[in-house]
Amino acid sequence: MHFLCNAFLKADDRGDVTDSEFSPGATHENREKSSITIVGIGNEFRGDDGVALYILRSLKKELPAQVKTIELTGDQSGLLDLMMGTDTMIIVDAVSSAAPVGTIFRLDASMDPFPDDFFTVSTHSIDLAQSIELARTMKRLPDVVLIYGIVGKDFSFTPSLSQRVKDSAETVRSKIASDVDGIFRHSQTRQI
Amino acid sequence: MPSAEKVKPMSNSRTLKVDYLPRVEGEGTLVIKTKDSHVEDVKFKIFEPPRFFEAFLRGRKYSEAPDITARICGICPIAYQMSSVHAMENAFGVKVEGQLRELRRLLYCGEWIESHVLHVYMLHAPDFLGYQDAIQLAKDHPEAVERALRMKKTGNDLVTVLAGREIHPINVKVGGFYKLPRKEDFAEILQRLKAARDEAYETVLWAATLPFPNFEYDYEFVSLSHPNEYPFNEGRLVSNKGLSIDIRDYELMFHETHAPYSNALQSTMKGRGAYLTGPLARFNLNFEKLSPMAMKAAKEVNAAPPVTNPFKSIVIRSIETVYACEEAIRIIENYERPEKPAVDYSVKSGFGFGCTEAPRGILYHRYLVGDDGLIKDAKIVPPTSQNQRMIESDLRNFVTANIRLPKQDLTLQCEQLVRNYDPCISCATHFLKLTIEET
Repeated sequence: MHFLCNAFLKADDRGDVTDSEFSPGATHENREKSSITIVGIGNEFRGDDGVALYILRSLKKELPAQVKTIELTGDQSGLLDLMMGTDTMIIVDAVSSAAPVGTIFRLDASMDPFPDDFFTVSTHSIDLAQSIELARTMKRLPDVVLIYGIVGKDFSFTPSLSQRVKDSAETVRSKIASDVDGIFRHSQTRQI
Repeated sequence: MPSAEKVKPMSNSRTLKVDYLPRVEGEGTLVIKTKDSHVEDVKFKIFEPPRFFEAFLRGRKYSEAPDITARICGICPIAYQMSSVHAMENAFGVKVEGQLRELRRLLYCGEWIESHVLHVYMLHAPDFLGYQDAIQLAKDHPEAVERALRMKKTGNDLVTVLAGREIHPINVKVGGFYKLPRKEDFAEILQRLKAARDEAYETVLWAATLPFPNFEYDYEFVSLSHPNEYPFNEGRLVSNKGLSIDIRDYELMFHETHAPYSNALQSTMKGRGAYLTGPLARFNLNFEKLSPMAMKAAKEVNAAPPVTNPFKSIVIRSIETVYACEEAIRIIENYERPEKPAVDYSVKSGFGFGCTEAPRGILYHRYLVGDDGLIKDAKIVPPTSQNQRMIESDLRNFVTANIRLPKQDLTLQCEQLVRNYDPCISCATHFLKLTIEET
C-alpha cells in the first residue's frame, strides 16, 4: 500500500511537482536528444505487472541527469516516438511465462528480431514486440535496444509485488545501473 | 498477429485457436459455437478494471479522482479525467466556461487524434488490406505508416503541451487546470496540426477505398449531443430512436447485467437491449456539427447519416480526426490566456454526474461525495462495456450470414468486426483469445 500511495502526485499540492515532471509547452520536438532512455512498461495496479515501474522509480535517483526515464502504461506504440530521441533504449517489462517466478530475461533487440510467438492478438493496442519490429522496419531503432523481462506470478488487481519478483527487481536495477555505467564509459573512451 | 493453429482432434468438433502474447493486463476471449450451420452461442468476454477502481476510489479525496481514473486507461486518460472532473463540478455546482472550457476541448482533440490514428492505421487498416499487422503494412506502404506516426505524434504532443507530461496527464483539476500554457507555447504545434489536418483529409479518401464487408444493421446509436458543437465534453444523451435525456438520468435508462461467463458487466438500454456508442453514433447523430473540412471530406466520400455498416467506422474515425485537427486549430488561433487557471468553488456533499465522449464512445462517471470531500461511492461505465452486447450481436449476425466462409477467413473477419468497435482492451486486456467451435 505504501508503494501505491506514493505513486500518485498529490492533487492539491502541485507546488512540489518539479519542472522536469511538469512542463506545459514541452514536446519531443523541443527537447534535447537524450543518449540513454530507460522505459518501464506496466500497470502498477496489476500486481507483478508493475515491476518495471517499481524498478524505474528506485533507479531514477541514482542515474546521471542526462539519462531519461519514461513510464509507459498504455499504448506501447509511443515507443516509436521515444526511439527517435535516443541512441540507447533500455526497456523493462513484466513477463508471464512458464519459467520460474522471478526469472530474468535479457534480450538485445538491436541485434535479434523478436521471436514470432511474442506477438499478440490485440484489438486495441500495439504491444512491445510489435513496436520494436515496427521501429526496425521503419528504420527508427536506436543503436542499442536492451530489454529486461521479469517473470511475474500475480497479475490480479493489487498494488503489491510478489516477493520473488521484488528480489529480481533489485537484480535488474543493479544490472541496468551497470549497463548505464558501461555505456557512458564506452562513450567516453570513444571520445578520447 | 497470431498464427492460427488448428487443434483438431476429436470426432466432429473443431476448435480454431488464436495464440496471444503472454503479457498480462487482463484477458479477453471470444468464443463462437456453431451447430448445423447455425450460430449456437457467442461470448465476448473481457475483464473490467474500472470496477476495481470504483472500490479503490471510495474514501479518497474528490480532487484525486482525475489523477486516479486517468490510470485506468493508457490510451484514453483524458477521457477518464474529463468525465471525473465534470462529475465533481456537477456535484459542486461549478461551471467552467470560456477559454478554460475551450482548453478542455483542445485536450480532448489531442486524445482523439492519437487514438483514432493508432486504430485506423495500425490496428484496423491491416485487416482490410490483408496484412498480418502494421509491420507487414509498413514493409509495403512505409509512407502510410510514416504519415500515421507523424499524425499520432502531433496528437501526443498536443496532449503534452496542455497536460504537462507525456504519459499520464497531471494538469487537469476540478475547476480548470493547475497551470495554463501561454499562447506562444502553441506556435509550433499549430503548424503541425495544420499538416495533420491535411494528412487526415488524405486518410479519409484512402480509408474510403478499402474493401468493406457487406454488413448492415438497424442499430440504436447513442451519443452526446450539444446544440452548437460536435460532442466532446457536454450534451444530452440522445439516440436515433427517440432517447433524449440529461446525463443525470443515465442510470434510469441504462442498466448493467452480469454475464455469467465473464467478469464484465454488460450495459443495455432498459426495455430496448443493445446499443452502439462511438464514432458511428456520434457521426450519425451530430453530422451537421462537423467542421467545414470534416464535412467536405465526408461529402467527398459519400459518407452521410445513417452509416449502418460498422466496418465503415474506419472512415468515420478518419473524418473525426479531420474534425479534431480543425477544432484544435480553431481553439488555438482564438486562444487568450485566462487570468486564472481555475474557477473558485466550494466542496458540497451530494451526487455528481459526468459523461464525455471518449474516442470509442460515451464514458459515464457518477460519484457521491461527502461533506468532508471524500468519495463515498463511485460508478464508472466505460464505452467498451456499453458496446459489448452490440459486439456479440454483430458477431452472431455476421457469422450467421457468412457461415460458409472457410474457418480461417471467418475467424479473421470476426476479429476485424470486433476491431470495428476499437474496444478498450487497454482498460480491460492486452490480448484477445478467439475460439470458434463447430459441432
